[in-house]
Amino acid sequence: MADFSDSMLASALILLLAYALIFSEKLHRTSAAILGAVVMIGVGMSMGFYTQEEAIAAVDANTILLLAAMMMLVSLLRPTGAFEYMAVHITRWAKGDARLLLIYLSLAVSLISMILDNVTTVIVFAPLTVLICRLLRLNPMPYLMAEAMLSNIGGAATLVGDPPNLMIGSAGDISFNDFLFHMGPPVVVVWAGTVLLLLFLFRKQLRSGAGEVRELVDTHAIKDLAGLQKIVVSLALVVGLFFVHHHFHFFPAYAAFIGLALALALMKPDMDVLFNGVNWSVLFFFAGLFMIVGGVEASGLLDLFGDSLAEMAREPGQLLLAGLMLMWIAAVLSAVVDNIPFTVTMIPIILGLESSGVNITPLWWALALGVGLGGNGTHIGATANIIAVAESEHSNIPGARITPAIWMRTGIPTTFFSLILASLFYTLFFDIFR
Amino acid sequence: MNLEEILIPTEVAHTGMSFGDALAECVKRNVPGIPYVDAQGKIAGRFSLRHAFRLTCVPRDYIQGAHLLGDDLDYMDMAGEKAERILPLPVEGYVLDDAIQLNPGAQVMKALAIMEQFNTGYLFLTDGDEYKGVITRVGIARLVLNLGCC
Repeated sequence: MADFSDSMLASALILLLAYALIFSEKLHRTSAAILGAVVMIGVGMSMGFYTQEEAIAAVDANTILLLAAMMMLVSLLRPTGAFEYMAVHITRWAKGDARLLLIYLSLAVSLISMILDNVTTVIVFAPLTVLICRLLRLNPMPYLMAEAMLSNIGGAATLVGDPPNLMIGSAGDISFNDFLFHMGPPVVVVWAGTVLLLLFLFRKQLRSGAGEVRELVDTHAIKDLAGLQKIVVSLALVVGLFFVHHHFHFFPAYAAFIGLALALALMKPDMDVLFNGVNWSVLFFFAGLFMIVGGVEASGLLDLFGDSLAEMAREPGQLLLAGLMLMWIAAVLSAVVDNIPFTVTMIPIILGLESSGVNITPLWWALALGVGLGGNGTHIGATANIIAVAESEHSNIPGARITPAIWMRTGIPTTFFSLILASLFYTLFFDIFR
Repeated sequence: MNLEEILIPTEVAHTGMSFGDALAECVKRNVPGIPYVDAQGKIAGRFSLRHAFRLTCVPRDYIQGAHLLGDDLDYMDMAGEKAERILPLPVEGYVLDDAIQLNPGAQVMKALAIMEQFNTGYLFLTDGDEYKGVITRVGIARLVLNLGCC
């Protein structure tokens, strides 16, 4: 085992300071990540443990480009009115039944979040949800919380549903199908259990009668039918390619870019508008984190840390325990801080375990489940939660405001319940996660 | 062309004025907004009809889903009861911080350009600290019609 060196100490300090800046929100998280990356490269170069070339190589281009492509596809889909059309019909199908409405809205948001960015999905659906609740004279609070929580859970099912999954899939060379096969079943169980629990926890709010049913009208919901048809074809191609990308040795990012290229050729969008729809701040945040963690990795610190973990995880009997521990630690940390920095840090540690002879496959799934489910614990645990809280505040509807305490009153039991379900599934079917 | 030709003199909103009084002044002068002055008499913001309606009766979700609303939403309109509650409230709660001001000597083209830049249909004309009145895009259109040129 290597000794603790000055380089390790320096890289650890820079990582901790950068993460402290990110979590304290004294500086925007992207600014903090860029600052941390610049300092890490500078210090690394002067101390001889990190180079500019290594920093560039540390950025997972597959993750960044896949995210960028999906953001552009969503940016093309959003103005067509497809989401609004869906919301109108969901309201009709629910026929004023408060519980059915919660299930249908949450299901729609979860399914969309399996392919598209769940933050965008909640951004679009949250104001529509408030409007629908106003029409039906319902408190939007349970609906906003359910949409955010269940979109977080839904996104955990696929390789492209959640940024941590993209990073895990890219680092572990896990295909879309493998991800869906391993994460789909536990996520379905957790999703169903969470819906039942939310129906129970919100039973008082959902009991209040909908009264006179007022419907939204879909006459003007679709704003650009031709555009919608073109983007649906392009998205269908992307999803189809996701299912076969491993067979053709395509990176998921390349599969997404094939669909994006088709969409661009068919739709000829205004490039300024298109690129305004890309969340550059998120992309640069990820790039900065990759560079920071790349520096820590280059210093050898993560190997040192991984060696200690490897001792525990190398025993076949201990692997299940290690997976469960990773899942719960990831979930607890993801509930209180951003799950991305944790995921980015854990990836090289898990990869390092492989060289120590540990079967790391179950650890990838444990990490994905933990970071995917943990975000529901608090209102700041996931970006979708923050959007739901903000929308509840803007609604000015009495009793609709989601305070941190209200969120935790529902979020903590929901997270624990979903983690227990996921742990049971992981334990009972551990062989498929190996 | 002189902007003062289309100037609409108005009262200003101030501390102690009610929402209803500010609204009445806008209606009386047929302007979309009036300046709000602080205790020292300096313009410190504006009372805007658009902003007032946004705060009182057009929630964000209505705006985003406006094209999805049916025509039968009578019960969600600003009811008399709600109006009675809002009109006596202090105007301060409905004031925007920004108040775009222009010198009376400025050209019409500058006034139009500033309206475009700030996405507004009206500006306040001030001479130093002295408030003169409101000019609107409709007023400029009237000026153009009268003169036959811009």
